[in-house]
Amino acid sequence: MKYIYHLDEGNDLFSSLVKDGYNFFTGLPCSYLKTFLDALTYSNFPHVKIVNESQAVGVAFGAWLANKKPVVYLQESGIGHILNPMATLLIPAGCYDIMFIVTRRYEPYQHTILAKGAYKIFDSINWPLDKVIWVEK
Amino acid sequence: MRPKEQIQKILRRFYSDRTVYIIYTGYACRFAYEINENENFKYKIFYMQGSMGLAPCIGLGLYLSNSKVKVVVINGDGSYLMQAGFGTVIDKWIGDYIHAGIIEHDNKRWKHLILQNHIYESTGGQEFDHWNYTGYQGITEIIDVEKTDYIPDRVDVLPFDNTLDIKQFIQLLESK
Repeated sequence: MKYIYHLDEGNDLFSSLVKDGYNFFTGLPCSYLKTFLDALTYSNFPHVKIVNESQAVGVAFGAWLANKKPVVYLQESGIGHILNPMATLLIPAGCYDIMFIVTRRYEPYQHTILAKGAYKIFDSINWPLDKVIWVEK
Repeated sequence: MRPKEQIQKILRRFYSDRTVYIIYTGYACRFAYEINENENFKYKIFYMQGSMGLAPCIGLGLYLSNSKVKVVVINGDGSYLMQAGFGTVIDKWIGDYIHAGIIEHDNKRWKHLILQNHIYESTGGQEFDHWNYTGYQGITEIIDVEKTDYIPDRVDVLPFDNTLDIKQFIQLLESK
C-alpha cells in the first residue's frame, strides 16, 4: 500500500481504499483532495460531511461500532481538532481500523508548521502510521 | 424527580431489543452505569469517557451504518454546545425536522435528548451563561433536570470495557 499520494492521484487513492474494503467516508475537504472527493461523490458509499474535524472521528467511530471500515479525510490544519477524540476514544477503545487521509500543504505560511510536524504528532500518540495516508503537492 | 430516577425513566422509556444508548461524559453517564449494575438485564450503553460533545456524532455514524439499530443519544446541554454545529448535520441525515424549541419527529430509530440544567455539574456545578442559543438544531427533545443531591462514583474503572460487547450486539442485529 502506498502512503503518500500526489494531489492529482485522487482516483487512485479512492480505488485503492475501496479495494482494501473501506466503505464509509467522513471529513472536511481540502483543495488537495478535489479529485479524491469527486471520485467519492460519484460512488454510493455513505459520506458524512461534518463541520469540525473532531466530529469526523466520532462519526467514524460510530460506523466502526457497526462493523464498517471508515475513512476520515482532513487538512493538516485540522489535526489539533482530532487529537483529543483519538486519544480519549479511538485508542482506549482499541479502534485502530480507521484510515486517516491528511493533506500536507506546507504552504502558504499558515500550513507550514503543522505540515512539518504532522507525522510526529501521529507518532507521538502511538497511532499506527500505516493508518495515515498523506496527500501532497 | 431526582436526576438518577430521570435517567432510569429515559432508559426504560426508549428500551427495545434493538436499542443502543450513547451517553455523554458527565454524571448522567455515571448514573446510567450505577443503574445498569443493579438491573437484572443490561441496557446496551456506550459510556463516553472524554471526547466531549461527540456523543451525537458516534450515534449518527452508528445509525447510518446499521439499518436495524435504534440509537438513543443522551447528551448534556454544555456537551451539546461544544459541538452545536453538528446539529445541522443531524438535521440533514435524520430529516423530518421542524424548527422550534422542542421537536418531536417520527424517526423511530433515532433520538437525541438533551438534559438541561444550565451547569457543568461533574466539574463542580459551575453555572454557564451561554444557553441562550435558540437554534436547537438536531435535537429530538429537551429534558429539564435538577441539580443532583449526591455525587455518583466515577466510572474510570470501566472505560470502553463493553465496546466489543456492543459491537457484537450490533453485528447480531443485522442478521435478525
